[in-house]
Amino acid sequence: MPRLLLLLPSTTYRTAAFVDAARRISADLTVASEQPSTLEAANPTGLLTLDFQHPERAAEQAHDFARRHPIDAVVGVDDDTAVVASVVAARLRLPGNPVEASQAARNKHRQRELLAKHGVPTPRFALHALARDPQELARAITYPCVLKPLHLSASRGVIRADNPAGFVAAHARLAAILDGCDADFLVEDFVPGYEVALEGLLVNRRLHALALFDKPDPLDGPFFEETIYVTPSRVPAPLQKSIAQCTERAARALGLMEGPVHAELRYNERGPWLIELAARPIGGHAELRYNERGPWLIELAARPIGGRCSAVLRFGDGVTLEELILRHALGMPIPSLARENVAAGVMMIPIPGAGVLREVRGVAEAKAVPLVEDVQITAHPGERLVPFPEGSRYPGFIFARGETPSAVEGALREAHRRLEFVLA
Amino acid sequence: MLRMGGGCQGCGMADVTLRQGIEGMLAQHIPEVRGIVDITDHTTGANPYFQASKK
Repeated sequence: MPRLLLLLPSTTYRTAAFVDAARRISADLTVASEQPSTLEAANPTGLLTLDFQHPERAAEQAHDFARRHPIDAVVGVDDDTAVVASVVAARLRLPGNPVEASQAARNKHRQRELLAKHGVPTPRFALHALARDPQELARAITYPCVLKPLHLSASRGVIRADNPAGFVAAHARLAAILDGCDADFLVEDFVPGYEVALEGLLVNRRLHALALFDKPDPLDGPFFEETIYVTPSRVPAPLQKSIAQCTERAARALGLMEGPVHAELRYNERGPWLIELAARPIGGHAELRYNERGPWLIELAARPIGGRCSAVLRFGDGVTLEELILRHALGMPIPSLARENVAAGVMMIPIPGAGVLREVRGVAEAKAVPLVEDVQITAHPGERLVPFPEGSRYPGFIFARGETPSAVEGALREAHRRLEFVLA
Repeated sequence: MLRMGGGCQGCGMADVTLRQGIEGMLAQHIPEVRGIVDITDHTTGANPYFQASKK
């Protein structure tokens, strides 16, 4: 059986989905994490500790391991481990993304430099030192703008500013969040519009669009907490094609070649290259006009969709996204890249406020909503909930499936309405 | 069937501990064991050793 090296950070939500997928395809599995497992000595071929903070060192550790237990593929599951996976793959001479490409996908500034260089529509951007006087900087900025940390995930620290006073306030918040972790940050134009997310798989540089998600709730800031993802998208087919083409161009600009990608794009009626839109965003009767330049690319990541959201995706006869990713990495046959023929959606439950979680009421009532398949509360009693932009950890997820995207979206909203978070 | 407690309850790595650790050890010592079902309610853990931290 082929041996898979799976890089799982100790805090990921994705453990069960990937471990289950590895078992389903009967791969010999070695799980590597940055924290040693208590049981590593009992299963030295199945558990490994790697220094994720230092990918080159992790690659040497993996190389030592592979001399005793040959590895056929290495897979990372999030932004950081995607970089580690590419460094390990290069050291072991396994297929994977070039190290420079995965690093570019991880660094928002480097990513934008490459996208701009290759003509992929992306917001105008500039890199600034956090130490620079924000008052002075605020006078030179075009508004509205968005301040972004270079490396944080899940929109943590991302703040919109509409004027100089807002910029100075946002700068102070971002500096506190980064607390010396990064010396620089990104400022880019705010692109208004309707946002979608594309989940794809690169096979020998060719993008296979696996699912396009609508994000029906406006993401206008000042913070960018996500809520609902629903697929299939309700945007017209020609625009969907344009979105996929834009994503593939972006992946090529970064040099990505293999594995999962998650892209976030916007389209609107502004700008020289863009899609002109006269739309009612929710409900699906979008009437769109667009030109050949396509949508704006907001983010591209060399990893699958975050958190537990992948649970809404099924392919062919029920293959999960994780199984599909592992099959591709190991060169195994992939039965189908076509998503099942039903609508599906997930709500990342909005953080209800700041405080210590005491209790969540209404879970059974939320699960009883027709089309709702599951409600998972991932925050623990006693856990401190921190709203965006300082926080980024959603307290749970709601999943639904149904005949139409609108019905699924309605079920998610109704289930959420029945939940009550009691904070102290 | 196995119910986890302590820091394993609600831990992001509980599945690795179970599948890559406990299950293999049990299978080695008790070959009749064909698999383990985790019946832990991981949503009620009050003090998981590793909390999931990403969206």
